[in-house]
Amino acid sequence: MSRALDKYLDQVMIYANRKPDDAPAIRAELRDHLLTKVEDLKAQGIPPEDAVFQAIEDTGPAKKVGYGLRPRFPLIDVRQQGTARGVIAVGPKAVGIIACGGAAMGVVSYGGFAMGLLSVGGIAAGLLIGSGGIAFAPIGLAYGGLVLGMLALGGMAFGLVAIGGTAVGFWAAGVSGWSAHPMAEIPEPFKTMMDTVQPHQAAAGMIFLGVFILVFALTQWAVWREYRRIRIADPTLAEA
Amino acid sequence: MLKKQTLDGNIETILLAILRDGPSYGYQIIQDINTRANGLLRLGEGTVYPVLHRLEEKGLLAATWRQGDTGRKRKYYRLSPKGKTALAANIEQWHGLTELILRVVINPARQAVASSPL
Repeated sequence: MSRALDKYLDQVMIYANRKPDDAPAIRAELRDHLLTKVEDLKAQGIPPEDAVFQAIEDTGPAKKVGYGLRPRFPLIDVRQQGTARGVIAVGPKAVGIIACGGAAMGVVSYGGFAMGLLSVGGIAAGLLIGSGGIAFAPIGLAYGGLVLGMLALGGMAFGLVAIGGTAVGFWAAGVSGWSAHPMAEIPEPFKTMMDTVQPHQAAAGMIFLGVFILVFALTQWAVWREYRRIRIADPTLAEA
Repeated sequence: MLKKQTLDGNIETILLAILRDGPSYGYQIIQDINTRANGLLRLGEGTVYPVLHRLEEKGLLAATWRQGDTGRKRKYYRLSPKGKTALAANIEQWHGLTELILRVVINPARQAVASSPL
């Protein structure tokens, strides 16, 4: 087989990142595909070298094909394109238990647009906790610049209970804003929540920052680990 | 030429349908799709294998390795009973969808005339 086909298959399998027990079968299947294609092209009168490059081109870029062949939900999935899916997922789009990316969806998610149970990002939508430039938390705590949540804490806060610079809510406390009820009438569970949070706004910020740093460090470690794996397997890919 | 987004989620049905005619292998499956699609669709060849593997994992396809006509070992896929059931269900859904698109999107005026009282 031509060296170009071997090299291509090597690169596909690096990106596929399969375990040693199923990698050979996947490689053999793709190899058979490429060789059959080359034979077909040669039978059509295409010179052998051109046939090899045509077969590779028609099969697709090694990165894209390899990513497609990855396991369905591995422990760590780091990708430079497409959607990463894994326990820890990092990519332009990421879906995972811990997801990080331009658009991230996960139990813990952070990114440009983050959605999940606990979300931190430019625009963060967290079912329980959302923190970011714009943050939503329908049944939990939203913390950030412009926030909307059951308990909203931020520059501009809108919520059932809102605390902030400008606070608008059923019960609201802020420099300016609007409250439907006097704070004295706040029901006990919310009062407890507010009493707990209000004196510790700075601490809450620190906790969010801590979570952000922890998740960021974890995902950066995953990225470093992936790049290192690729660099060791094929240094030319690390430059791509 | 159909856009990839239009096909999302339906490549599986296309592969199942191709294998309805009997066992086949990746390259031949792709050739069959391209022939039958007659220019309406061109699949990225490398993207077909992940879908075949997924169908195999789901139990909709069964696969065996055997000697191909080239002398190389080759992986052949065939529809499993579960795959046949899934294909039948998908075809039924597609008949319904095709009918809906025809009535509502492609030819709404004729449908209105046909259903109006004389």
